[in-house]
Amino acid sequence: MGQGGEPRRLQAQDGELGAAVARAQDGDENAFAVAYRIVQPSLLGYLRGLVGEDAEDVASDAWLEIARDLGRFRGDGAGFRGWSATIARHRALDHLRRQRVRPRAAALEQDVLELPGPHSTHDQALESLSTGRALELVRSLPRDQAEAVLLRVVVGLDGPSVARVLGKRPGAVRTAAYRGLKWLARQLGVRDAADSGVTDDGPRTLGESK
Amino acid sequence: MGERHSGDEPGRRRGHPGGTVLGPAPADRDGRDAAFEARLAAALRRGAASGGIDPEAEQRAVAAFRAARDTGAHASRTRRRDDWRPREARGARLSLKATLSVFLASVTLGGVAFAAIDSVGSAKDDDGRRTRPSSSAPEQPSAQPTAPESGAPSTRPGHPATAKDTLAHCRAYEQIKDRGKALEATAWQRLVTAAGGEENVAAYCSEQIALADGANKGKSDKPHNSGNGHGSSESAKSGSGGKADSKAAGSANSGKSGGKK
Repeated sequence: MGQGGEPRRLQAQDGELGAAVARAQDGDENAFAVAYRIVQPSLLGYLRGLVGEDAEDVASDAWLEIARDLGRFRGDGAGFRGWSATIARHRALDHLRRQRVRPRAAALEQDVLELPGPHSTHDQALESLSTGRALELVRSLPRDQAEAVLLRVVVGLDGPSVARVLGKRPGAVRTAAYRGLKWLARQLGVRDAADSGVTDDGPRTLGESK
Repeated sequence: MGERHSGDEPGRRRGHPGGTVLGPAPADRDGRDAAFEARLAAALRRGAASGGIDPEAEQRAVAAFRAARDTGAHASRTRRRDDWRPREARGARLSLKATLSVFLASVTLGGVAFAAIDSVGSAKDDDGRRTRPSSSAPEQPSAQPTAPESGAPSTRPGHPATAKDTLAHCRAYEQIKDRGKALEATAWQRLVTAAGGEENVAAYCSEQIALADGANKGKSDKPHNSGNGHGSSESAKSGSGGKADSKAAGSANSGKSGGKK
């Protein structure tokens, strides 16, 4: 699959995750803890993009539901990522509804446009990308793009799974992810990548990921 | 690169055991896109994994898992949204579902068609059916007054005449028999038919009233009371006939007004 390193890396873990989930479904609480440790970082990363600093609380709520409903789940490791991300997303949307907080920050254009600097080669720009800056950037995307990017890049879901989590058509999700990534690349000043890589080859690359 | 990231934060590697998979960035453009995504993901996840997994949060989740397991919550049924099996497995399940729904739809449509046929059939023999109820008095509390009535044909199909109707008509008749036009109303026509001729109405009615009174005397006062309480028309004044249905009362009123003209 033509996916990035992170998804590939996550997929490498899916075998381990699937086995842990299966054991947990048989009642093994240590296996459940293993699954927790594998999934929690990506869930938190996704939730940070959705609800910011409340991500830990929302993740806790999501895990209570995951723990309760684990017996209902059917699928492998990759499926568990999608299933748990769906639960986390619902909790996050509930949270946003309660808080009446816009999922995307409104006034961060100036901050965001403070770019890493003139030494904008691909690696350097990303090397100096702080977590806070990355989150700000992602959260300043329209939410459909932000979620598509987060689910694909951070949670490591494939195209159909992202579409299922978001309840949208795979084509719409692919487009949203492509636009979001392209915009992020430009904001990060990876001009080379934006011009020759992401911009030109973006559609093909992303298309392969469906 | 990947190594450098994890080198910066050694504690993070536990959360990202696969971090070294990144390796050297591939030289081609796809590789650069992939590397871009990887860097972005690393940046986004770094915050999530800072300080590693929160042990307290993990313990809460595991405790919730234990509680659910021990209370049997894990035996819950799998809903559609819980089924994340690969598409092939789901496809088989869905096709079974599709087959079932097609079957159900055909059964439903067939049922509708059958019901339509049935309703047409029943409309045909309506006439045959409708005459049947007139031979019995469904709401009659006592069998006695029914007997003379039971053989009487009803002139209006679909409206079974009851003994109560007859009694009400008789009592109303006694009061308005001298006003000629009242006897032309449908209710009176029916009464006349039941009595077997206009000249027989008086005798027929006295017989009916005597039968009804006899039946009521043998029973409690209840029919009388309810009759008085219920009656609003003139025909109800004389007591046990008050339970006559509103059609009879309406006929009495219209007959009366007709007589006044």
